[in-house]
This record gives sequence, C-alpha cells and structure tokens, in this order.
Amino acid sequence: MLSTRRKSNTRQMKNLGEPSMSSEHIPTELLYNIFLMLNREEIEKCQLVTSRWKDLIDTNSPILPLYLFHEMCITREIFMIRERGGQAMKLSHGDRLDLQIIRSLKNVVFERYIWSEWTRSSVAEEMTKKLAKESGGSIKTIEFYGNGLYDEYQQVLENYVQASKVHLKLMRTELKQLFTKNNFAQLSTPPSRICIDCRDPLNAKVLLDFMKSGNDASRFTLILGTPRTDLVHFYGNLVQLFKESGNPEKFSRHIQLVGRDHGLFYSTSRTIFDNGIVTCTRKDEENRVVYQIDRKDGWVLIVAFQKDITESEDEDLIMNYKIELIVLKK
Amino acid sequence: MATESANGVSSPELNERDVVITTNDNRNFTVKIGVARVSKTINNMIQDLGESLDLSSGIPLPNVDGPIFEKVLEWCEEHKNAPEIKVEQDPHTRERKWFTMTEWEEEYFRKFLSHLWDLAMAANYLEIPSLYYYTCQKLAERIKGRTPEQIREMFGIEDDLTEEEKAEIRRTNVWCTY
Repeated sequence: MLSTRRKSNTRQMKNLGEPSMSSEHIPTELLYNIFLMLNREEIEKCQLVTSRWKDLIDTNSPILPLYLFHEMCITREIFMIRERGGQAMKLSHGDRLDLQIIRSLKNVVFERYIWSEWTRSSVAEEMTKKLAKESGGSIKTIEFYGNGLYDEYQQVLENYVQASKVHLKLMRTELKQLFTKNNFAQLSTPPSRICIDCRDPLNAKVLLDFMKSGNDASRFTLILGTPRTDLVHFYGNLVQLFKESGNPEKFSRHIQLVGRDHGLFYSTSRTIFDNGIVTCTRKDEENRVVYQIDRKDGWVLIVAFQKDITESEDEDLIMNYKIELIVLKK
Repeated sequence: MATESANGVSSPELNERDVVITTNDNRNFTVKIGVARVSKTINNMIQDLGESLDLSSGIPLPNVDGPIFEKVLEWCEEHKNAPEIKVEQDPHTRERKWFTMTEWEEEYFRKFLSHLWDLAMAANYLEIPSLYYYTCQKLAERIKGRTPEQIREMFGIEDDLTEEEKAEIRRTNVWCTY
C-alpha cells in the first residue's frame, strides 16, 4: 500500500511517511491527545509499546481516561466487579481480598455500585470503605438498598466516592431522614440525579409534603410502586402542583409509577384528565401512550402510559403497567 | 475608512485577496487570506503585521515543509467556513468523544494515511484545531485493536522494553489483556 501512495506523491518523498517518523520526534502533547481518545484498556496496552509511551502514561495516569466497569456489587459473602462485557471478578471478604487488586482499581469508574441490604455486616462495611478509599474510583450510579444503613451510606458518599446518580431503595424512616436532612445538597459534588425507589405508598405523602414545603426536589427521580387508591390521589395532587407552582421543576423532574393493577392506571389517567388540560395525546417512539399538558409559560408535563408483558418462571404472562410523569421546559 | 490592511479582520474583501506563504523548503504558496486564516497562527501573523503586511513578499513558515503544507491547505480550503470544533469528554471516564467526520474528511485521511504524524504536528504548529484533533482521532483509530507489536511496526517504533519490564506492566495493570 505504501508504495502506491509514494508514487502518487512525487515531491520530497524522503521527508514524509510513517516509517521515517521516529518516535522521539513526536511531541509529548500530541501523544497525550491521542491517548485521551482511547479507553483505559487501550492506554494500558500502549504502555507495552515503548518506554517513552510507558513513562508518559505513568506520569499522566491520573488525568487519562479511566477504566469503565459495569458494576461493583457488594453482598454479604463476596463482592463482585463486572466488566461491561460481563466478565466478572469475584472477591471474597476478609483477608483473602488482595490489596494489590484494590490499588489497581484506582483508575476505574463503575457504572453501577450496588450495596445490598446484606451489606449490613460490619465486615462488608469495612470492606466498602477500604475499597472506596484505596481505589479512589469514581462511580456513575450508586444503588443503595437500605435497611437502616443510610448514615453509613452517606459517610461513604461524602468521604470516598463521587456519584452523579444515586439510586435509593429506602424504608419509610430513611426516606423521612433523607428529606428532613436533605444532606445531598451539602456534598461537595452533589449527585445530579437522585432516584428514589419508594414502593411503600405511604412514602408518597412524605414526598408530597416535602415538595409542597417549597424544597427543591428537581434532582430527584421518584419511583413509586404497588399502586393503591391513595396514589391516584397523589398523582392528582402532583398534576395540581404542576399547574400551580411557579417553577414546577422544583417538585421533581421525573416520577415513575409501576404496578400491575390495570384499573388503577385507568383511574389515574382519568384523574390526570380531570385535573389538567391535556393538550395532545399521541404514541411515542417507545410505543407509549403520551398525554401532554402545556403551560403558557413553556413548561410541559408529559404523562406516559406503558404496558409491558413479561413471562414469569412458571410461564404465566404478567402485565406490568408503568406511568411516567416528566416535567420539561420547552 | 477603507481598510486595505489586514486590520479589517472580518472584511470579506480581504478574505478574497491573496497572500504568499513561504515554507521552510523555500516554496511559495499563493493562498486566499480567507483560506490561510483557518490557521490561527497565520491569522495572528496577518493581524500582527497589520498595515505593514506586504501581501506579495509573503509570510514565512519555518516549521512546515511544502509537501505537508500543500496537504494542510487542502484541509483549510474545505474548512474555511467551518465552525470551531467542540472537544468534549465523558465526565466520568474522561474519554474524549469521537468526532463524526464527513465523507470528505474520511477521504482526506484515507489519502494521507501515511502522513498522519506530520499532519498532526503541522496542525499543532499552525493551530488548526479541527485538523489537529481529527488527526489525533485517526491515529487513535490506528492504535485501537492492534497489538503493541503491530503498533511498533506500523509507526516504526523501536522496542526498547525488556521482557521483565513488560511483565511488570502486565502485572500492575491487572485488567490488561495484552
């Protein structure tokens, strides 16, 4: 290939071309800008090319791209680190955990970090802190299945890791704690999205009170489940809030309601119709039925209904319904 | 006041005028100012010279040779009206986002595949961000998926690491599969 190219460029060939470009002449800045376009795996590979590349990568390691792992999961017995492709590294708690491996994790970012309720054991807690401290990894999403662990979780988040999105599955008491303290706002780098999974419908009241009191809940995505009649009322109140609030984004940008009771979803949609002026109804690209409520000042509330059919283990068909409320500024 | 000088920066008339640029192998290129200005370095020179700019005696470029400048000019001609490129990165992994190239740009790099290093260095000196970052991406593309051995061969790089050093790199990078 090279020879044909040479023929087509007749002038001054001796100064040109890859083979004549010895690697010492390549400016450091140029190499650095190339490495920035590669993922961590490729960068580590480049260390094996030549000592100059190796040294450059060593020196700049803290500012070069990070390793991306799909998830890190802490359970009672083991914790597991999974690569995007699915390859998992399982590590046991206690002495068997090799510090060398933890230290090697300093250049990683976890897409998901899961603390299950089993993490309750003090060993696991210790392990999490150690891991977080030693690795200094950054975490995109933290999923926290709380069971009275809220304070410890807060501590880990504050002292060791950063997350842009936090997914919380909380007990009612913890939810109260979350809203009364609202201490996410005090973190040096507060998460931009906090996803709260509160399947207990009584939580809805706590949330509504929080929003009504004028607190900023714009960072929260709420997931509500197991709908009951009082949730229909809750949704009605939300639509009311949307219509009245000066800055409706403040009461949450995204609310999801999931469940299996079709009748309830029917009545929820009716509540929304009764409360708001639905501007248009359509089906969107995900085949959801979408109702849209436009405010004169540009705010839009989108209410999307979705029906999912899944097969259970004993091959029964299960209907799942999902309603989403999304607040947007046009 | 009719600005005949290069101070009338945005003057479309001036962009249509020719300037002579001399590369380090004493080759003269007659280029429309509007095209030459894609290079911030040349644009600064034109602005700095202001009134005293003599368009015919030329601007010297001591760090670029003719054959490469010719290729760079092709890029400038195509990109004379292009907006400034945006360099973005993933906030978590810090990985630079890859640019989407036009068919013309892809063809340009196919044509000059064996001159990527020279193009990148010229683009760096001439301050042409689009050409610089796009060439970096092309070089990254060449590195991606190739073994260290293939990379050395492709770029004519000498293997100066001992087997022990390589083993140490593999040991510290526990996830490295190469």
